[in-house]
Amino acid sequence: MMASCEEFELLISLGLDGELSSEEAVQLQDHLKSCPACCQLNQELSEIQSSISSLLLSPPPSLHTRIMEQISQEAALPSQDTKLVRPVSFYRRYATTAAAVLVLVSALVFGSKLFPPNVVDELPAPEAALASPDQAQRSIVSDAPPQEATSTEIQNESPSPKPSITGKASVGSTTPPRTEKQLDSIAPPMAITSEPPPEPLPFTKEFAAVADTLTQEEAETLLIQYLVEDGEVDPVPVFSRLLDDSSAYLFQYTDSQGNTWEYRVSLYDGSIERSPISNENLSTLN
Amino acid sequence: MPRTEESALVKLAKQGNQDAFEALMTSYQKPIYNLCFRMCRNTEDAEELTQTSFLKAWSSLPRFQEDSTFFTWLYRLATNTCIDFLRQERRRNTILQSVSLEHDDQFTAQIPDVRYLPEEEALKNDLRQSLLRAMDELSEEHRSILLQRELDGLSYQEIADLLGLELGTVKSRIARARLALRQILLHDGNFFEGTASKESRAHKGGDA
Repeated sequence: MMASCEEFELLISLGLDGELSSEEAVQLQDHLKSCPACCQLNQELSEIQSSISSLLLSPPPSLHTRIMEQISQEAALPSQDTKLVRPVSFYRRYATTAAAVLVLVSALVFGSKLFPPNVVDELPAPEAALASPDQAQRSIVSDAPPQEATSTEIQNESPSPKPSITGKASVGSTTPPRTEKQLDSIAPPMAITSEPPPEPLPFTKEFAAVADTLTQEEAETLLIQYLVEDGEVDPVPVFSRLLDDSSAYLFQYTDSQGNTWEYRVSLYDGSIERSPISNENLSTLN
Repeated sequence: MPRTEESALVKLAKQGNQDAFEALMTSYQKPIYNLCFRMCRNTEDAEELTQTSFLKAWSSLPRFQEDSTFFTWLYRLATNTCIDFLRQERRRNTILQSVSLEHDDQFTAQIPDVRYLPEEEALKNDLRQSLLRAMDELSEEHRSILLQRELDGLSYQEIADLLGLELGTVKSRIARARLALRQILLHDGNFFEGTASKESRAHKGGDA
């Protein structure tokens, strides 16, 4: 049997995976026309490829159903009847206690049998839930605060990210749980599964899965509410842009003391972070 | 699935949209199932591990940073699930020691009993057996990368990400794996007998 041309072996292999540039494809095509050995090789490798594909097993159809069923169940926990549609900030209100309890309980219930200890993926840590500050206290995360600010994350206390639902925005309110049932219906999927992750996660991200995401308008409204609560009179934050990973809206605002900040309002849960902008960095303002 | 469509689905799924997740799951259920099967070597455990992997993917998805493809992320997740399962359950003593991302075990578990197959199936099965035997003879490195490309459907870039290799290395390694496998099959003699290339080889027999 004739030896195939070594320099074309790689191209033939790339061709099997559709990874040839158009130039390379032409090159190979031309060569195959005139080289029986390479043509043979191409044919044989192609047959091997098909054979390997035929080794693929098909999972039973029931598997698909089972997976989706279990996901629906987890998403609906603990109350099976009602679909989880409550706005996320509602959960945050109770998150520190209820979610912590849920996480601890599920860790015991589901335990290490399903999710062995050295799982690589991160799951929410009970510590992260418990580490949240007192509901009554609001403060901002700042990179380099010009004034003394505590470095805990702001808790959006509004009953709903959509003001139209509740009719008013009461940022910072600390009304106690309305009913027992509402308290029970906190069930972000991550809080159910077991295992503490290697490092604690930022508190806000726990509820991303159940949040309705905010529109820019809603984010702006939230920010305005927050600024008003902070003592600003008739604040007008200026929308900058959406973050590249689509996780937050960026606004610029110069406060009554003349400090300019960049505010990040999370799409998922309306949490607000800010960092100062130096005068040199001012772009849209002034 | 085109990449833009997939990232839209991933974004939706991250927000808790079950339909979007289901669409993703439909695309990747088969390769993940096969991956789990290769690692645990029986269909029962493969089903359970596939289920566990997708559930973990669902709950971990909000933390998926999208710094790799969704499939790479899912693949790693499933592999780790299987490794942990094997270590914990200690069901396969022989592979327990060396289970790692790069280690793909023998495929022999899926050879059915030939006696009960209809003739056409028997012929197909012969080819299959030849192929499986040949793959067992490959070096671990070659077998593993070939399976990742051909069975798992990982792209060159995804393989490069997973194994921490340069793209060029992946390309040449796959090519060499294919050539090595072909050599083994040529020696075997049976494989290409039943395939179309036999014709062209017989035809060209005098040219060698």
